[in-house]
Amino acid sequence: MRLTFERQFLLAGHALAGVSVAALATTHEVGLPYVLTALGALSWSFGREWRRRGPELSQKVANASIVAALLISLGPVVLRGASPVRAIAEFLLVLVALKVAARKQNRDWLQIGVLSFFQLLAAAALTVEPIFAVLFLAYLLLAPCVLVMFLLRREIGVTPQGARRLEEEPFVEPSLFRSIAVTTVVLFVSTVVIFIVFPRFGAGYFAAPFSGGRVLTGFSEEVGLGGLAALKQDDAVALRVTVDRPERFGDARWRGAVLDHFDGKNWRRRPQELRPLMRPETGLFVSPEPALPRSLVHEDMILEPQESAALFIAGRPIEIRGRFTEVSTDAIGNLRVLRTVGIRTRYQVLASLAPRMDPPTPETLALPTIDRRILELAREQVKGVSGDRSRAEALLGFFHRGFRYSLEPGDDHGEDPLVRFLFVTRTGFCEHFASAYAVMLRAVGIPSVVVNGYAGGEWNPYGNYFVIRQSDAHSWVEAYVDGAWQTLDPTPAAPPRTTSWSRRLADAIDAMEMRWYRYVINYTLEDQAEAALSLRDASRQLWESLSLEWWRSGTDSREGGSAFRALPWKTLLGLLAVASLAGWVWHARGSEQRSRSGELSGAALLYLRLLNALAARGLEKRPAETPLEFYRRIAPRLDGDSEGVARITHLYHEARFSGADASDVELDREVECVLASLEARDAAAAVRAG
Amino acid sequence: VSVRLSTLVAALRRRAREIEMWTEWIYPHRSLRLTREGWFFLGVTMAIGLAALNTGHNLFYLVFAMLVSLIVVSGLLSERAVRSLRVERRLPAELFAKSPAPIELRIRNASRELTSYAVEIRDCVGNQERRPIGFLDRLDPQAERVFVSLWSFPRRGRHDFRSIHLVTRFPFGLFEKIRIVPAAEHAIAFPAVATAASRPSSRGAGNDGFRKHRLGEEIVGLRRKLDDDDPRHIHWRVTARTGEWMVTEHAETLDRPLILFFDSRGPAGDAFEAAVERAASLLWQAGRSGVASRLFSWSTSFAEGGSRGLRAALGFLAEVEPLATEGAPDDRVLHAWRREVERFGGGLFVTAGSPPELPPGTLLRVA
Repeated sequence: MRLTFERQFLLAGHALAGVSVAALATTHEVGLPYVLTALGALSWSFGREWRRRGPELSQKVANASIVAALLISLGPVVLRGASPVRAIAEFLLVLVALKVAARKQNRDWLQIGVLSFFQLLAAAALTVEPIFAVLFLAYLLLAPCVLVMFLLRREIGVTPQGARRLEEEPFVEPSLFRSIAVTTVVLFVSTVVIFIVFPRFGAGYFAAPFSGGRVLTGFSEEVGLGGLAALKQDDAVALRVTVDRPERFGDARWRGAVLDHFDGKNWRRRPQELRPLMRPETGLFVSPEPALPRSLVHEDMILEPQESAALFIAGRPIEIRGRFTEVSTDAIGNLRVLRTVGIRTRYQVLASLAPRMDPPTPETLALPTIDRRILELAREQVKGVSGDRSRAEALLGFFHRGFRYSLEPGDDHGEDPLVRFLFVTRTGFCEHFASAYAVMLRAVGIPSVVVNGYAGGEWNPYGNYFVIRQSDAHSWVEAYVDGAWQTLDPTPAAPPRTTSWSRRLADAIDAMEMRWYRYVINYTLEDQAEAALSLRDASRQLWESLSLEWWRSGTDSREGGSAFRALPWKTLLGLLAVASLAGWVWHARGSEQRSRSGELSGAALLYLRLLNALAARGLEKRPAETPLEFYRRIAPRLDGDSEGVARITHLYHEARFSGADASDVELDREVECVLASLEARDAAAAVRAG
Repeated sequence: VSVRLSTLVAALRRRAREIEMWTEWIYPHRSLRLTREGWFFLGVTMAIGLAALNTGHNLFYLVFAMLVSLIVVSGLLSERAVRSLRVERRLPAELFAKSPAPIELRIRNASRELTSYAVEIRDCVGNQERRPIGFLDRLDPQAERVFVSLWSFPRRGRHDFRSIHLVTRFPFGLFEKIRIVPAAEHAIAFPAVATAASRPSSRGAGNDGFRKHRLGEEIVGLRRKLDDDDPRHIHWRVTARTGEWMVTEHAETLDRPLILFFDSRGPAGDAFEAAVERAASLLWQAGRSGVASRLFSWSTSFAEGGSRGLRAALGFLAEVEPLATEGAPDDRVLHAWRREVERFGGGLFVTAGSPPELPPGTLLRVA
């Protein structure tokens, strides 16, 4: 079926409007009724215009509805201080619905196009989700088509004849769509290039807390036993971490909250003195503590929106880079960060994986009033064992015998949860294990804290980063043994996850999401600088390698090596590429000049007409012949036209070389005369022959 | 140095006269204008750029990059619309002042595969306003379209045609791209010739200056009536019989050539122009009627017959400037004219001023 131009336009126009409505819908920030209204109006409009019949909204009703929609949308903003962006987005949806439902002139299509763009813009303000990338690409694909077709419709459809052609014919050639497709690729590439190179020197004075994604339950500073159970059953991604040395993160733990006070049921952080990290420059926080260079690792984190302001770091932070107002630390290694909660956050850390050496505080040895059986049990386990390390290991070994990990350990029935865990059920989840172990360590005089954070995670081979999910939330113990804080985990290890195709697919999708967050949403001035430096280094390396190759080739050939092998192939290929480019540019310039010269000389065109006519009669001009030489050669065979051709040759010379282009008119007449004469002679010859 | 400087200044002045848009100073082959939608687009682009800078939100940067890229792509595609078009301007063999003349523009798409869309062609003569000649809704590869426009030349003489503009708002309607085709050329507009109604119905001839009969001496044939034929030549009976307007052709017009002297002395002004037009009209009508004509003036004479001679004479009249001298500058040509008048028994001396002593009946003074 051949689609007429009008139908092509109808399809593309509605698709563009649909994409922008979808972009707003996927932000989850606009009301569903608004989205459904817009989509319904689009479907109705498309069906009606495709069939070319059906009811349409009158202009008066449409205008009245626009005013009503404006009041309804902006009402909550004025009365309740609701988000104006959301109100504007909803109003845009209503506007589009009304515009498409009413009769459409060219101007209305223009307005629909503009509205669709502002919808896309509103979506960009309301979301940072990767689905926006898909819809943005669709918009990028459709927008040039719609714009081109709109222009043709407006410029060609103004006349009744043009309008009829558009109504009845496809009108545009496939070559145009091919060109549009090619230019869409150019559009995409140039969009990417401009996005990358446009300097991010903005200070972000009005930086909006752009939300996006589900806000996850975070780690609070007071956790009861079982507080992590809900998290453990949530498979949502919480953290993505790119590291420079992944082999060192085999058993990595991303610390969140370090808790030192236990009241028998809950763990919390005791209020204590905070030491702000130094801030040598905006967004950079430096710890004064020394670290061994070989223990340093780089971590680049993207933290999903969380309810708490906790930062997760594997190891001890030496440098933290991120959009934070202040970062401070306390004696047990907690980081207190002033940042906006509920938004996706990117931060980079230079951390030391070496154990912390800070001396323990009295609170890390404090025990609440607990059941004596626990104390006796702890002492019994370390009976006869000397040394903190051995005693800590002995206690750790206790949990490896007869204890079971379960996310459903059952109700406490009002009993002491630790007593029930240690002496009755011997079943619990990580907080039970960590709490019991920390208390038992303190019972035998070893300072300990409970740390909540994420442990493990999965290595995403498609994006080369760790994916840490909510289900990786974990509690473990850090004990001060032999002068350092050692990580000790009494919880039995979970069975390894199986790798199914669905998991691989999820990994691939997550890798794309990660790239989106990393290279689009969180693309910064530092990334630009890094890219520029990489480019500089790469070009320098290339140049050096080419020079080296050239030098080696000379050395090899002198030393009698294979001449073929000694050739500097890379250099030659590079030179060939440069030469090709130069040749192409030269050719393009030449053809432009040639075409211009063709336009300039009407005399040349006329002379060419004569040459073509003569060539058709067997009198062909040789490439090396001048016009005069040509004339002299053919004059004897021209019979009565000799004088005319002589005159043309003269006028051509005049026009071409003396710049007397006034003779064009005369030349035109002479050429017409000679051509007419030649045709007359042909006709006469045909009559004689026939 | 001063000579070089003055040459440079002269060249710059010449260029300033030639160009129509300031952008031509930068690049003489293309020009660009923002349309109303383009201004809006540019404003929105800048606003989004500012929003991106102030919020640091990368999706705003992304949208901003898309808008800037659309401008780039717009440039590429608009070039595609006009790049492969070849334009040729064809002027008629004769142009007359104050009469509309058809100018032909041939547009050919030289591309082998790309169709051009939505291109407007604008042309310009002298100081007249540039005007649209035609609109190419679509021109297929290797196809050609011809547009004919009527131009009036207010005065006789040289008229310069300027570059041809191929204008397109393709592809997005944001910019109006103009490809400036350097087709500068000039044409000579002959003096305005009088229509049949005002054509002089007599010619001075012979020593006694008699006035010939308005219908000539002898009817030699009939032919279809042309637009500017005198209605008095209509042969009513044959017209009624054939159903077509037929006029008589008379033998006397073939006998005597028009021996015309144009007196180019006198001040420039309406009277001089009227004299030039009268002389041109006489020559033109003589030519149309198949009468041989010869033109004499103080500095030159045109004796060549046929259309070539007529064009040469009209070309002279097109560019003739009034001579400042009051007396007869060079009597030799006048004597030659007198000899011709005596030889053929008649002639005309067209002047806007005071004539010298002339044979009786030969003076045609145009006030």
